[in-house]
Amino acid sequence: MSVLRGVIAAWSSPTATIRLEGSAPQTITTTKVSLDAVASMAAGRKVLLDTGDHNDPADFVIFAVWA
Amino acid sequence: MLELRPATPTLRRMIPIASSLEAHQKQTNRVPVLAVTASAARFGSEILRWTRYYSGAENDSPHALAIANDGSLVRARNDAGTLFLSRVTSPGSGSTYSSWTNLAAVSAGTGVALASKTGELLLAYVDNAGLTLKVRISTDNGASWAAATTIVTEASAIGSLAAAYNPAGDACLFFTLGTTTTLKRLRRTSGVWAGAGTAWTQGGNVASLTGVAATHDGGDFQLLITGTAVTTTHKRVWGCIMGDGNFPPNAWGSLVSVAESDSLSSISYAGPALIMLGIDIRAAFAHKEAGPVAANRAYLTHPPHGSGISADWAEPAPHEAASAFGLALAAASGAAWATTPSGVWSAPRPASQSLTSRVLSCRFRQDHRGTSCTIELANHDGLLNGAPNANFPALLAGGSVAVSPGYASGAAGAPQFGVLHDLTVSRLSYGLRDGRSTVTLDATGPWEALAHWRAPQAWQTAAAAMTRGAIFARLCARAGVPVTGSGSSDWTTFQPAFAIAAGETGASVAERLLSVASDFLRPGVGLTVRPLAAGDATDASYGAAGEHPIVSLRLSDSPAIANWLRLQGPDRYADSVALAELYQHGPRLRVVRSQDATTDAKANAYAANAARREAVLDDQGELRCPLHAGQELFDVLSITAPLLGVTARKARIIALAWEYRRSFGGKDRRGGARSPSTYESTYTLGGL
Repeated sequence: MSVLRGVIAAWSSPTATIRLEGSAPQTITTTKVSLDAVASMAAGRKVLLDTGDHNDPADFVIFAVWA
Repeated sequence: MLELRPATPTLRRMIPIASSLEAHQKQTNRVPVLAVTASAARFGSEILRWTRYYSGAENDSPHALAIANDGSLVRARNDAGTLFLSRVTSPGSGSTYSSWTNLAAVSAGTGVALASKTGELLLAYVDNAGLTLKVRISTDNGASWAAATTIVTEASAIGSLAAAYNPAGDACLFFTLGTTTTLKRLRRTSGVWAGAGTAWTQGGNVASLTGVAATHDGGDFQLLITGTAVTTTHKRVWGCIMGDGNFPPNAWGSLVSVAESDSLSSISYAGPALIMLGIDIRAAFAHKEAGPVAANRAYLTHPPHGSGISADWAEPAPHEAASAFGLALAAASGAAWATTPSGVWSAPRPASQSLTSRVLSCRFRQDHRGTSCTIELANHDGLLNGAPNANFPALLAGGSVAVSPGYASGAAGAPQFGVLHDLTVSRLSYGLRDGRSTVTLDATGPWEALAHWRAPQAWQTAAAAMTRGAIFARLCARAGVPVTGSGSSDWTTFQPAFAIAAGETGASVAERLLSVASDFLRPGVGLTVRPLAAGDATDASYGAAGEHPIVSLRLSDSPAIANWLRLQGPDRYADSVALAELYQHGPRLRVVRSQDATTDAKANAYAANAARREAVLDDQGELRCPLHAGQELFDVLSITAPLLGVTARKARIIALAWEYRRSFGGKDRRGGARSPSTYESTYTLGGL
């Protein structure tokens, strides 16, 4: 797995709760947000999430945010 | 007729086979037999192929269903405060399902429940502004109903309602108080109702309740409950036991998650239903999507075959029914039934059928990543055409075929069988060649079932919460694949953070779980987790006097794919090196990454485990022999071949294939000799 798209369901720094596309019932959480994206984090905005190559939650990084 | 062997909780090596079978299969003259049985099931769980018998215009409302002892289909619905009843004797595709009787005025929006036992139907509903629970009894299969009996009057409105009988004929009502956390049980024992309901003990684990369903499995009451979890208010469908003998009477078990939706999601659950299909539980609930796109749809699910409500459940799958109040379920011996106020569905439940006498040939192959089997069946009489059909209702693509090789080695040539493989029919092909009609059945195993399953939603567990074994058990249950075996200490001890993305296949998830474990999965009846140790004892011996004969043998010496394994953790790495291999063939490095390797001990263990996987799967040759009915994947063989200078050399089976072909003797249509019968195994040999 590599890059997934989602929507910020909740943001309480440093924890982001993301509803990934195709996952209406369940969200995932991550505490890794690209430093230049932190200021843009807000519920309802869209994100790109890098899951690494192992789908290990410790690898998840949000690296893009847009309205 | 073969029966699937029950799941065994302990680690199992090569299966034991009868001594007469073991002796016969070594002989020069052997009489092969192959048992093939078709079932309208997948890994033991019945396949329900629903056909809609009725599409009406009744309003969506709380509803209930029961099958009376005479086979009548009895339905009840609470349509805005009017309780309607329907009874259809001898229900079928051409029956009239639109006829309803106005039975009583009831409280609008409240639950209604039906339960059935020999000689009695029980109808429960709510009256008196939602405060009074009433029951009516029918002793003539729903043709008429006695006057209502007031069971209890609560101080606050009753919401959902369920009823079930136990084998002794006693009944129990289960009801919620509105959408509060209170769920009560109220028993009828030897014909006498308790004076009041008794609250359950799980109220502290929920924030609200939206529905309850109940059945009895012969031991205890089984419940399906919808609502929200305490604190998080996540939406849930739960399974739960209330003791009635197997467990202490009236003791409540833990809530087991069946379906999950987080508190921010627009999905909620309601309208649960629960029945027994033989020994198995089958459940339904309303999956309510508030949008977009808004939709109410019934979903069906079940725990693994033979498991109770406390096991991990299969991924819920959608049904045609669109009701905010779910799907009511009932089962008869020959069919299952499902209803909403405006819909009636039925699904046949055919018994398993033997195909043994029709088997012309069979090719089977299995390795650590999959199973494939091709069976050619005689169809000279056309009875297999269009299966499933009236003659062979259990043979269908998507169904199961149980395959077991053996020999006529028992008393008076009675058949004796070895390993049992439970396979899924992936394709049925109907062919005509040289004037002969045959059906070719292609089947696959549990790895392929994992590969076909895709996660419909993301899922995540934090570190120190679930072991790899528990995560794997959950995965297999969601995919409908049984899993047995206990696994290594790493498999049952380490608790990694783990996530599954929506759309990821089960096979991908399993690969990630196994990548740093020394455990392998052996397909059979589902998957068996098997830790492989270099010191494992020999399971069978080949080549020496008195041992299983060898037809051909090839032993290879070639470099492994990797002889230097580097495990990269979040802040450290560890190497595992096969030094002799590296000295001879030069370095062959492979890097494996695990963010769970957060200690030196884990990093070293994961590196060693990953290296063992390479060592085991290293192709070291091939052995061909008369079919050994008891041999399985990952069994350890001791091989003796004096002409190759080999004495009691140990190797592990990393791929297994066998072929059966029936011989008819004489000549074919062109005058050529028919091929002799074939019954041989071919093993790919790997490291220990």
